[in-house]
Amino acid sequence: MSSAVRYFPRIDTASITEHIASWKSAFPGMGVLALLPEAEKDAVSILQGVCSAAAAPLTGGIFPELIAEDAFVTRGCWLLCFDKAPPYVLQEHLPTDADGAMRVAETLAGRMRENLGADGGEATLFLLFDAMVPNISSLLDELYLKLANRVHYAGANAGSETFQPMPCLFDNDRIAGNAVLAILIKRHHGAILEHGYQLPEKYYTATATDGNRISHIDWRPAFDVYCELVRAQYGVDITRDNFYQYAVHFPFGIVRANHNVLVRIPVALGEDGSVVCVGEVPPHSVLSLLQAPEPDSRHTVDALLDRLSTLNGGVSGRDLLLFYCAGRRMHVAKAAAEAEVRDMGRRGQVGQIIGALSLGEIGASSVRGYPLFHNATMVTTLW
Amino acid sequence: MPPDHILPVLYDLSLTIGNETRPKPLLTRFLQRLLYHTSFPAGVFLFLPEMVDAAEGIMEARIGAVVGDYELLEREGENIRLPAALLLGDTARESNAGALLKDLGGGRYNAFLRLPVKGTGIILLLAQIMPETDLPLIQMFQPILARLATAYRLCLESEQRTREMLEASRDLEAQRQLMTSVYDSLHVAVMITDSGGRIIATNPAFSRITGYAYEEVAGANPRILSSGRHDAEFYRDMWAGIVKHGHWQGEVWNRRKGGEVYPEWLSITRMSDEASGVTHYVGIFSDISEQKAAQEKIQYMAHYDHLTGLPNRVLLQDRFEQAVAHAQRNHEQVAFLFLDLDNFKYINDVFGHATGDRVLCMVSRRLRDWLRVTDVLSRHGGDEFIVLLTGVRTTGAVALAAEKIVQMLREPFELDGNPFHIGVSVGISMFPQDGEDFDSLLRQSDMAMYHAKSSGRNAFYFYTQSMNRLMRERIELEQRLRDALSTGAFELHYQPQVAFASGHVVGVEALLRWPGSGMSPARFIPTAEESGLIIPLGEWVLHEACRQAQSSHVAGGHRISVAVNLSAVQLRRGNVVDAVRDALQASGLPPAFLELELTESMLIDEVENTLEMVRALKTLGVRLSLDDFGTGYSNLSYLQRLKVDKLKIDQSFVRNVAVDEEAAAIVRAIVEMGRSLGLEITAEGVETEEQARVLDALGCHYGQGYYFETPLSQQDLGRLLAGNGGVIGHTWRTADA
Repeated sequence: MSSAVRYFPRIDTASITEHIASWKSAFPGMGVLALLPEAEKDAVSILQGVCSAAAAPLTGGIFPELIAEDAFVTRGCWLLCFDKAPPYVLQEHLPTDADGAMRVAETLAGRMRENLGADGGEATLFLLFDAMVPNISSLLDELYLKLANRVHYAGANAGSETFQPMPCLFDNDRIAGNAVLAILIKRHHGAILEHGYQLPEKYYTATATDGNRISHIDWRPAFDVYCELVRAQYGVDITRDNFYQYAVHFPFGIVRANHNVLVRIPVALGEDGSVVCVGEVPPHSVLSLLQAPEPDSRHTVDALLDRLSTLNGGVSGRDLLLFYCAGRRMHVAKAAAEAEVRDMGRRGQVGQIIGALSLGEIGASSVRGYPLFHNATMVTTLW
Repeated sequence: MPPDHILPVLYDLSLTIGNETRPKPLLTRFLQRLLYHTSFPAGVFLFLPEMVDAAEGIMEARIGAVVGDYELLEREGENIRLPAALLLGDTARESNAGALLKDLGGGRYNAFLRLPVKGTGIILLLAQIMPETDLPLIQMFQPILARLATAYRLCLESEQRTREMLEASRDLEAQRQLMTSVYDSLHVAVMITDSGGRIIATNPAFSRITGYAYEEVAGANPRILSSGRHDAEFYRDMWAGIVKHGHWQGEVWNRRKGGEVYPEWLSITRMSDEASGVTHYVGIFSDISEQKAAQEKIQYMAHYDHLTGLPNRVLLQDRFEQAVAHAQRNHEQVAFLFLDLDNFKYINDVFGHATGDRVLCMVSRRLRDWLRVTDVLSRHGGDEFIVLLTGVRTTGAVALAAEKIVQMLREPFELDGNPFHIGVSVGISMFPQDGEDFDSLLRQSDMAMYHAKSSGRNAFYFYTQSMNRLMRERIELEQRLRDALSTGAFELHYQPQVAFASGHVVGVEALLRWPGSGMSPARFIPTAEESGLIIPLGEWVLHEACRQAQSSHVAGGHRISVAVNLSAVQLRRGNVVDAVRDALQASGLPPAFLELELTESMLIDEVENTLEMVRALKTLGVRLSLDDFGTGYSNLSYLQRLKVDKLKIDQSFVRNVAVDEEAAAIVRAIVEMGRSLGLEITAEGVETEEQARVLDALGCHYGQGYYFETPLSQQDLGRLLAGNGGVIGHTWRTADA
């Protein structure tokens, strides 16, 4: 993978055109991955025009904000260049039923199998989902059934931080919502994902769920139980009025057998007392109420860098692609989040950190492990 | 994770088992959920052989399901040889098992969790490094694994049953399609009703035959097809048969959607079962229109001549029987005419049979057009025809008809611009005189025909000799009449009509005479009437009488009227009004001097037509008198409507008026009636003075008869009128005076 990557503080057509042309002349078979902040969503057509004119395959996503120059920015765009344009699928109209998920997984897996070849070399299936897709976990389950450990899994959710529907994934010809952009990156070792949440002692059961909506916890209305737990464990009174202000600090965690926790940030309330999270909550999941990590915790960053180094044989001097959960930033606050990003760069002695705020993250709990959908994490890989 | 949270894991796995009904997905989904809960990255389900022979420490297992390992995933369904120590034994968990696992993961795995599924196989969860957990993985899955084994077995059985059902369903579907194909392709219509008689199914043939689409008849009663040809009793009998025998079949006339009535052969079967009783009625029918038409054609061909369309002998015989029966009831005769065309063989030989056939058709048409509806024309074969004349009362009429036929066929036939001359020889036999059965009459008429042919053709010949003589005489007379008419051999004589009061000749009656014939009018007039020659003869009489009368007036003689007798035939067939008008115009005779004599009897038939004609004659200005009055049956109101001018008392009353009080009374009554109506009264046949006296005394105005004068020629009449000043003396008035 090429190290050609550039942040454009302003969407300047001439400058971008020149840069694309330069890349194209160096790598005639090149492809472009673009990251745009929501405030620049109208620039998609400019990028499509420039890349199509240059016959350069383009893929990309729109995120709430970008990570550039060790800060969260709302302007400009990242252009990441592949030496050789990777195979990709931009699948729209994702179904929500089980059979539909199976069919989509078969389609994606089939396309990827065609391009994986028989050499068995490592590859990462890089997945950008529209954050509004309600059954990302189910789709990942189906994909894993088809591709298993043939690929590493990594990705993030694009979209609007307001969680309003917005076309947020694009290629040369279209921009789509309710979609997934799957890019097969060959000779790649995957990504590392960390959230840093501590596992509490007390557990509860999501006795009734429907996708990403928790209706009942321990057979009682989910919101009622949630408020009791937060009050009891952390002394905070949550009401319908202040829910959006506080919920990001008290996410749910789906507890798995090996102590791995999948974070689920509550983001909305139902009139029936249900709680809507980012990401599916399987029925009868064991839940715990997590307390967000301390803003200046080093644990998460260290864990990320250590594991990334182990995976890649070191990170020093390398550029990092980082997706930082918007929920996490909301919890720790922007300044602390930016500090965490700078800390990562400094402690890893990396080249630059390329990235965006994400609305959910995808990764495995272990190398070649089962791909899971996470909230409130940072997922990172070398670029 | 505290042990009390084992339950949600087991519950989730239990739900996973319960949600799958197919064997392979059951194993795959179970593995997937195991991986989710335990954090192992890969899992495999292996089927173990029933008989385990692990003598060499290696066993062959079959890879049933794989999650999380791409290489193993591609080997699903294949056999794999693995250490028995890996496959056999109870639930186990080992972290340093790279040696055991090397054939499974190619060195990717060092740790495994073995979960035996009794009676089915084993689950192996695989990892590079054993995932950390507080869960008692060795113990906690026992109950759920037993459930998995049961579920797998049930899924296999269900799959087998489903496969069998699918096969059976496919067979049934194939059968159903075959039956549907047969049902749809049947040429016979099928109509099925429910027990209430409502149509619930029809096949395409039903629509083809009846014109109704299924949607138009669904739910309706089959009576919508009724044509109305069958009465209620027919349908009662039909349903009685169905009720009694469960089945009925027969011919039914139904009506198509377009209105056409057509015959069908219908079979109705009642369907029932023990539980419900009658369930359906199945009607199967075929359109037998073509068969019926074929039958009719066969019937037609059996009864009609193919070339001319005339009845053949078979039908002729039937018609003969009917004609004979009718003749017997009505005391009539039937004439059997055998026609054999003359010169027809020549046409066939010279111009070919196709032309001959066309001539035969023209002959049959010419004959058919002329014959009455009640007569029968039949082609006997070749160039022979049979004619039955029905309702015959006189042989004269038969002779006339035969003569007409001979004349008709003597006229040439135009074919493609060429005239074809043929003739006919006719033999006639009469029922009942000559015989009463068909064969006898046929034989006799055939013999008569041959006689006609041998006598020169273009003739007819009666089988009975006496008839022939009379007919010959009649024909000869008719011919003589024709000749006399054309040569002007007739004369008019005039018998004066004298006024009793003055003795003056007030008029004359024109009487037809045929000098040199030796026949009185009584002899030849009937023949003229029968032949229709009375028409031209009557017109000649009118013209001649008017001309002579006007000539006499012009010559300065007495201006007297002339009375001309009209024949009933003239009234029926001739245009009398035009003939009278023409005669008056041609002669210049004033209409008032022309008197037309009509007999009372001829006015009784066709009253309205007669009245109309009489009115028309009156408008010409002529006078009308009723001749032979007293012998008919006219009533007073009729007389009043007729507006005649004169009554002529029949001579039968005049003859006895002087000697018979009754006759005198009749005459008196006639005179008084006539006077009361303003009519003049003339007595005919006055032969004696006594008669004249009495008639005068009774009030008659005029007299005519030998007493006064015999019929005279025009010259003699002129001399009479000139000599006596138009007065013929009457001695009684003179004597009394």
